Amino acid sequence: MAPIEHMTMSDISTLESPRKHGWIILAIVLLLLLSVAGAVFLIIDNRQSGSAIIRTQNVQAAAFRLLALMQQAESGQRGYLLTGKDQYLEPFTRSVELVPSALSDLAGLAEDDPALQQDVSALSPVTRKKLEELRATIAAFKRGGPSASLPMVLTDEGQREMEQLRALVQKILDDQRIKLAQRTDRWRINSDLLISLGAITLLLTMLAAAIIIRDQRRHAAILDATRERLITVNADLEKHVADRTAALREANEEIQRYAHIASHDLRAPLVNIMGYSGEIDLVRKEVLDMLQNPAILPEESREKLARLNEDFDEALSFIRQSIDKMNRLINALLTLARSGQREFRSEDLDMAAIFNSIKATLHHQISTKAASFVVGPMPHINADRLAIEQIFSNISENAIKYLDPNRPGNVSVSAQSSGTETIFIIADNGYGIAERDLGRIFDPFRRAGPQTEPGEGIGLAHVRMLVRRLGGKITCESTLGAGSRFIVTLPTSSNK
Amino acid sequence: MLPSAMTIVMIEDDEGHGRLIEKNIRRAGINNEILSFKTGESGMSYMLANASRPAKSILLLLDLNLPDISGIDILAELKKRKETSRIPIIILTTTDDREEVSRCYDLGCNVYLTKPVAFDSFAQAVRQLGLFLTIMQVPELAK
Repeated sequence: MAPIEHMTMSDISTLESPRKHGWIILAIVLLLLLSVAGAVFLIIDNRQSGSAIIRTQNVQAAAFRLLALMQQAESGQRGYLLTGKDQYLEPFTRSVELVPSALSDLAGLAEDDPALQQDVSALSPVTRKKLEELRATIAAFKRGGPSASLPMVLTDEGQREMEQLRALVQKILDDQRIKLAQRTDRWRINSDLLISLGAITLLLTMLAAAIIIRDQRRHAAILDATRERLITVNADLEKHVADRTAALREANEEIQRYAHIASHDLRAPLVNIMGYSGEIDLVRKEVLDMLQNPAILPEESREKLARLNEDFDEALSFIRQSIDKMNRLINALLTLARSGQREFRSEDLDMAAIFNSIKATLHHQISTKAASFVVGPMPHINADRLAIEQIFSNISENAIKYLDPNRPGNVSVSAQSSGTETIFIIADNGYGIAERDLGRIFDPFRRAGPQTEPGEGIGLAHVRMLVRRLGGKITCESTLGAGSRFIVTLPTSSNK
Repeated sequence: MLPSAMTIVMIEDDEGHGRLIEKNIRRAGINNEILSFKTGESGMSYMLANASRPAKSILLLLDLNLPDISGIDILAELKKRKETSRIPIIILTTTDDREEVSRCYDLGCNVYLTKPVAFDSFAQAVRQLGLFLTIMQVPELAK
């Protein structure tokens, strides 16, 4: 038969999930964490840059506004000085009103910036002075017209202050422009970095995902393949078991057929031996008759003839006894073979009823030996009726048969049930069996102890075969001179 | 009473058994012709060739353990054919298997006897068979 396919330990150990990629995944996760940390940092930085950029722009706007206001004031003043009309003074008035707040706005924006603070604090007095100059010139015009204001203007002081103002504002603007450029660059760099990090994170994630997916797929494929193999191996095994069971069953049936055939082939020559021993007997009788004639046989030879006749009788008797014995043995073998072939059918059996009917069957032997046969409380079991009856009849009969006549015979039958198994114990206080014989008693044609009772010694071999077929076992415990216990363990429910 | 024209046909492969049966039938006082065949084939041929002969009657002693054909097949065949179905067939064999016995009776054998080995001797049993034969009536075969 082909070797059975099975899974080895190394096959099973490859089922474990692959660990080697664990390190790579861990590294990727770390990188991802770093990326995310980096991104967070960049974003925070950009937020700060962003606000700083806005502040820069605000400063620029404020500075522009201040300058614009001052220029508006100046052009208003100029217009007025040129035309003397009040409407030209409106821009001046309006602007002048707004200048302080523009200045304080600028000052407010300079809170974090010491350089700017310096510039603003330089700007403040200049602004004031210029405003004073503008007011003074306007006031002068109002008092004395152009001839009063013009000389003031011609001192160029106003011009110089405006230049100063302009220069200061320009400085502020330049500073801020530089700062803006720096901050914008930084912002842009950060953004680029952020995009790169994003791309890297995406790639790393995809890489990790790819590795994980590939590992999972491979793992799943291995599991699937293994499962397929397991199914195949299982089916294989089952087929093997079925095949071997069938082979065993066939072998068993063959053995029984041989036993069957052998016993018949053994019987045929026995018929001849027996028949022709009868013929020899007849021939002897006729010869004897013939020799009764005194004419043939002299008187003195009659005694010898008588003795020869006795010898003949003895020889014939041994021949016939042996034939008888052989016949009985063949019958016993046939019974064994036949029992093996019979189909068993399980049914519910009331063991108390069965033992009581066995007791009734043995009634004659029991009362002849003045023995007691006690059947204890019995459960029900599920098994083939005929087999059970044969088993326990045989054991019970033996128990009665081998009671010691020198003491009152007691046979007791008891049972213990333990769920799946039921144990029957038949105990007697008979001759008992010597320890060396305990194994032999179950062999066919073997007996043990004083052969006081007729029997072929086939019983217990038959019993054991039946017990085995029912799925149970039988053992014997005995003390020579005290008695024996036969213990039969049977499944409570037989599926045969 | 066995009609004197009746032939006892014996299909038995064991020569020893055959002789024993013959001797004891004669001892029972039966003088009819006894024909013995050691193979199923030869016995069957004789049966088929002679059964339909007018005024011929046959009694068959049949052993089941034959070397060439199974005695059961011979029994079945003879009982199946119209010209031989009435022939009394006595199965005389070593087998006492219950199923075998039932089967033979199902197929139509008239008597099933097991060759005994017991002390009472085969001879006695056959002699008794012989006596039985002297008192049994045999039918006319289909014409």
